[in-house]
Parts: sequence; structure tokens; C-alpha cells
Amino acid sequence: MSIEKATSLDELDAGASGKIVGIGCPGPLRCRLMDMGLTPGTEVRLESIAPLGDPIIVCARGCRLGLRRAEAAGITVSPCPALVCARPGPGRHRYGRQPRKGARCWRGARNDT
Amino acid sequence: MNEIVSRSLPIIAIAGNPNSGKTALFNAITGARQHVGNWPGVTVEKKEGRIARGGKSALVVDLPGTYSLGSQALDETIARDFIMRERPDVVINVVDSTNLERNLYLTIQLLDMGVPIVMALNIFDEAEALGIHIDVEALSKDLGVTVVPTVAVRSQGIDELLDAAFAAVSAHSGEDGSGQRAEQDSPGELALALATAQATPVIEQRDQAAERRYQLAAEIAQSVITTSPDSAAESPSQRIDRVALNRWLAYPIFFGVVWAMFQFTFTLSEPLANWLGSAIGAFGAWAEHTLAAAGAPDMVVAFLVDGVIAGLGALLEFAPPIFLLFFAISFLEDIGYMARAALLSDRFMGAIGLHGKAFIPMILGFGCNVTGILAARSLDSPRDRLISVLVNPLISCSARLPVYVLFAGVFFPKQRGLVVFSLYALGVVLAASVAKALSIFIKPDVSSTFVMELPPYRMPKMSGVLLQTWERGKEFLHKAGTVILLAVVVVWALSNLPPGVAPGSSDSLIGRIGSAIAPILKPAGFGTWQAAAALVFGAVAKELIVGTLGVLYGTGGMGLAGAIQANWTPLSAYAFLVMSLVYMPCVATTAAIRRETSSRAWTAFAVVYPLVLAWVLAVIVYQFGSLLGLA
Repeated sequence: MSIEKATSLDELDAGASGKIVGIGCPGPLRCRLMDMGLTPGTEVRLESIAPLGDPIIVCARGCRLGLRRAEAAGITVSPCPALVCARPGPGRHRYGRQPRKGARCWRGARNDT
Repeated sequence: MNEIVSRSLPIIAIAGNPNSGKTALFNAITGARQHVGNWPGVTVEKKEGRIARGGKSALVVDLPGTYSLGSQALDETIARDFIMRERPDVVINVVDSTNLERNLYLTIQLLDMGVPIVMALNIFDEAEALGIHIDVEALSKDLGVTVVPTVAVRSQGIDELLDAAFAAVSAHSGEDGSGQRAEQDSPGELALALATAQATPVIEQRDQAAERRYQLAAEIAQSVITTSPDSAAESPSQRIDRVALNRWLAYPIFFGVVWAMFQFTFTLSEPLANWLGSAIGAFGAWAEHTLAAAGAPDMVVAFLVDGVIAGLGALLEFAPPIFLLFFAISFLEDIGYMARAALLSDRFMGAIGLHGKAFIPMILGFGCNVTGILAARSLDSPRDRLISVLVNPLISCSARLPVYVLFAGVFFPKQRGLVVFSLYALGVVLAASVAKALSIFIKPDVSSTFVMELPPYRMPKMSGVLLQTWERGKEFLHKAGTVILLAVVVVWALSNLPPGVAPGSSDSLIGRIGSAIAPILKPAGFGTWQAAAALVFGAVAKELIVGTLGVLYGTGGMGLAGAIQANWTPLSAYAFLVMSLVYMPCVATTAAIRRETSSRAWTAFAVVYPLVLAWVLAVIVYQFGSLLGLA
């Protein structure tokens, strides 16, 4: 599969992986995400989605994080199906809420990356 | 509480990521010789304990779990400030061996700041079991610090760790002469300034610093982990979560756990509370008899028996549910389910501006608001904690049920269930609305973001859970006890003064207060001094409303129903029930609010806003009902 174009973390399918390209969230959320290991260049896998469609569970640097879709929307990733996801996801497609177009992250977006 | 300031002892601080087994390690080091208090001015738990080893002693301080020293989350600020300002002689950096890379990020920050550290490579057994082998010597060499593998829950490696820590303390005080450390601006201050900076040009540097640290952490982790399991393989926790967070099973399991917690806290505690209540009653009767036989004046006997001993009884009846609650919370937190519960309830709690973790306190509020408020401690964000605490009294606790049952039974015998349910529903709607309103006015802080680690499931150590339960429960009873006791004594005095009046009659102070308040309640349809006095007593404990009405109408049992029928209409009765639901937190709840917010202003707010809200709602019910011809 060829490298797809960059998308936001919350738009990955359950089980799909990507490499973080940039974090567009400002302020404290940005620090928080970085401190938790979601720095640019990190491989991240969208492990599963909570039953109500939000939050999502992602896997990065060997640890699992719960993230709201709105928070994940500010994280840009380039999907890379072959990288981490040696074991394919449960074969189930994303369910729950469709991501909004131009979803904003916490307290306004800033796409400076 | 200010032991840390005096600095007569060397200080060993314990720092590490949440879920790294930090508290278990602290317990293993200090055992029962620990003290749970608060960090000055905030409601974050502070644990410290003294230890002695080889003729030397030291103060061990457990810092709040932190992912980073640059964070602005309250807990993490405390950890950072303690390290920067108090300059502990050595910091034991607790690291989760199963998650080395992420944990090393904090280690590298500590090293960047020039903090003397000894590393506890904790949960070492689990890492081995998972097939993660860490070369301890290589890690020690790479970082230039002593590294001791530990299994805190089984007290393994604690001796070696303490030897290393005390050696570091000696080395540290040796190099600076008489234990005095140089006060000059260390390079650490610069690192700190960088870590916390928010100005735009600095953000880039901060990002780069974070990236660099993680890069370093990844490099070190890769070089010291000799074998690791296939990264694609599912971990045991992931397997459990396939069920616990399953699309169909997650909510049945979640509500099952919440139900079990509720049952555990309230059903199990009831016989204990009743037993304590009757024991105190028997003690009161014995005291009354003994004092009367000794010739003490009636007034003194009544004061001691009905005031002080009864107040003590009211306090002790809170003890069983509180201890059981703390046990349940400690257990669920330690086993790792609390994070899942938060994940599952975030969707609906998020809708009212709160974190998913705020759900458990709300549910526990149905049993008792005090327990609900105390459960809000598990929230990380001070803002969410505050809002949860402030709205919790609107959740209808079990003590209000007797009031509903009495009035609904008299006026709405056929729709009793519906009337009671409507009040519970009203409580939930009000709590949600007020939470939403407050969440708009009180600005979110960094920890209001949901970003939350899902820790691996781990079997907690029972002695640790029990110790935590005991320390938290004891501390609460100690602090809130004084307030509850005092309130009971004051109300006793109000109903028995001036001397010579029949207790609680219209001539007593409470009767006069009731008469003064009654006109205010008139628009709500129940402007009698008895109703007003019952509400005043109900402020001590909501279940007293029924008992007080019984006393004031000079009747008991079936007679009370008749008296109520004569003095209330169905409409004014419903308005009175709305008032009883909302009007103000009981004394114990107020004490808990004061304790958990550490703020007089917020406590006052928590008492005043429900009063106003209740009055407005009761008036609306009565006036609209009258307009509709329901009176």
C-alpha cells in the first residue's frame, strides 16, 4: 500500500497506525500530549474506540492512552499501515460518530505545524 | 504539617509517573509509620513518613504522580515545586519497568535539572514475566545513577534501594560541607523555565526539548532492553479490555461494578452503622443514669447526653460507609478499573463539561453526599473536583428518602413511586445543569483535558489498600468530626434554650427562628414555624426533618400523617419536598465540602446557592400549581 496523505489521528480506522507529523493544539493540551510521549515522529496506533464512539484508545511508545476525538483531531499523522500494525485490527470498520469536517481541537485549533 | 520546612532531617522524596507503583513503594519503605495530610493550601494528598537506617534517619515524602516536571497540572506543579524549592537530599525516581521509555522521560528531566537521584526499577517481576529483560548495569551506566530493581508490592529490593538512597544522602551532604546546599542559580532553574514557558518563540524550544528527551529515552530504552516481546502481541491488559471495553459488554460490566460498589459501601455498612448507633444510645442511657445518680443538674445531664453523646453518635454512624467507600475506591484505582470507568462515562459527563471520572462521585451521592464528595478526590483536575463537589449535594441522598416517603404516602398514595422518582430525577437534572453552568464559568485547566493513561490491570496488595483506607478515613473523621459534633451541640442548645422551655417548642430559640423564617416560606405554600424549624433541623441531617415534625406536632406514628394532612395540601407538600431535596447540604456534607475545597468562600457558595435555588423552585412549584388550580 502506498503512503497515504496526512490525516488527523481521530480519522484513522480502528487498528490502523500512523506516524505523528505535527501537533496543532495550542497551550496546555500541546504540552500534555508531548509529555505523554506523542511527539512528532512517534508511531501511534488507534487501538480501539469506546462503545459510544468517543473517546478513542491509542497506543504509543508501548503505553495506552485514552483521548477525546476533539483532542486527537489536532494531531496530524501520516498513515503507515505496514509499520506497527503487524496484526490487523479486528476487521471492524470505525463506528460511532463520523468525524466532523475541520474538527477543532480543545479551545480552538491552531495549525502552525 | 510543616515538618519539611524545618529541615532537621535529610529528605528523601519519591517521584515517578502515576501507576508506577510509587505509593506501594512508599508503603514498603515507611510501613505504618506514615502520615497523610495535605499539601499547604491545596487538597492534594501529601504522604510523609520517618525512617531510620543504620543509626541515621530521614523524612520520606511521597510526591504526587507526575509525567513531566513542565506540566501545569496542580499535582505535577506540587511535585516540581517541592523538588525545586525544598531541594530533597535525594529523589527516588520510581520507574515502571514494563514501560521504560515513557518513564525515562521524567528521569531525564530530573537529571537535566541536576537533581540527585536513585532509580527504583519497579514492577521488575512483571516486566520479566512479560519477557522484557532490562540490563540494570547498562542502564545505571547510561544514566550515571544507581539503579535498583524492586517489586514494591512484595517488598523486594527495598533494603538495597534504601542503602543506595542513604549513601546518596551522605555523599550529597558530604560534597556541600555541612549539609548546606549551594543556593546559586543552578542550571536546573533554566531547564525549569524552559519547561514551563508558554511564550510563542519558546514553545518551539520546549517542543524540541520534549522531542530530544523522548529521543534519548527511546535510545536508552532500546540499548538496555536486551529482549522484548513481539510488539504486535496483545498484552494481558489488552485482552481484558477486549471484554471490559467491549461494544456490548462494557456498559453492563460498568454498571455492575458501580452497583457492586454502591452495595458494598452502603448495604454492608448499614448493620455496622446501626450497631454503632445503638452502642452509642446505650452508652448515652448509661451516662444519663450514672450522672443523674451522681446528682448532676438536669441541664448538664441533658447537654452531655442529648448534645455531646448524640453528636458523637451522629459522627460515628458516618464511619462505616466512609471506610468502606475509601476501600472500594482504593481497590478500583489500584486494580486499574477507574481509568476504564472514566473512559466509559466520558461521553455523557463530557456533555456537562466534566471529565469521565466525575461519574463515580455522582453515583455515590445517591447513597450519601459525603461519600460522593470524598470520592471526587479521584479526579485529577482541581476544577472538575471543585465542580463535582459543589453539585453533589443536589443528588438526592438516602437520608432524604424518609421525607419523600412520608409526604408521598400521605398525599399521593397511588402515585407514590412516581413522586419519589420525580424528585430523584429533578436532583439529577439540577446537578447536571449547575455543573454545566459552573463549567462555563470556571475556566478549564490543563488536567481538564481527557488525555489519560490506561494503566495495565494489576492485582493490588491488600495491606496497601487497607493502609490507604485507614489513613484517608481517619483523617476525614478527624477533620470533619469537629464540625459535625459542634453543629449537633448548637442545634441541641437552640432547641433547649432559654432554660425551662419545652424542647423544640415555639418558645425555644428554634421555635423563634422558625417563626422568623416562616414568612419567607409563605410564597412556597408552607409558611408555618413547624415546617421552618424542621428545615433548620434538617440542615444537621436530612432524616431529622421527619423526626422533628413528629416532635413539633406532638405526635408520633399515624398521628403525624394526620397532622401533616391538616397543615399541608398536596401542592404545598410537593413544594416542601422540592425544598427538602435542594435547600442546603447537611452539616456533615458541608464539613466535607470545606475539607475538600479548602476554601471558606466555596463552602459558603455551596450552602447559599442551593438555598436560593430551592426557594425559587419551591415557589415556582407552588405558584404555578396554584395558577393551574392544583392548590
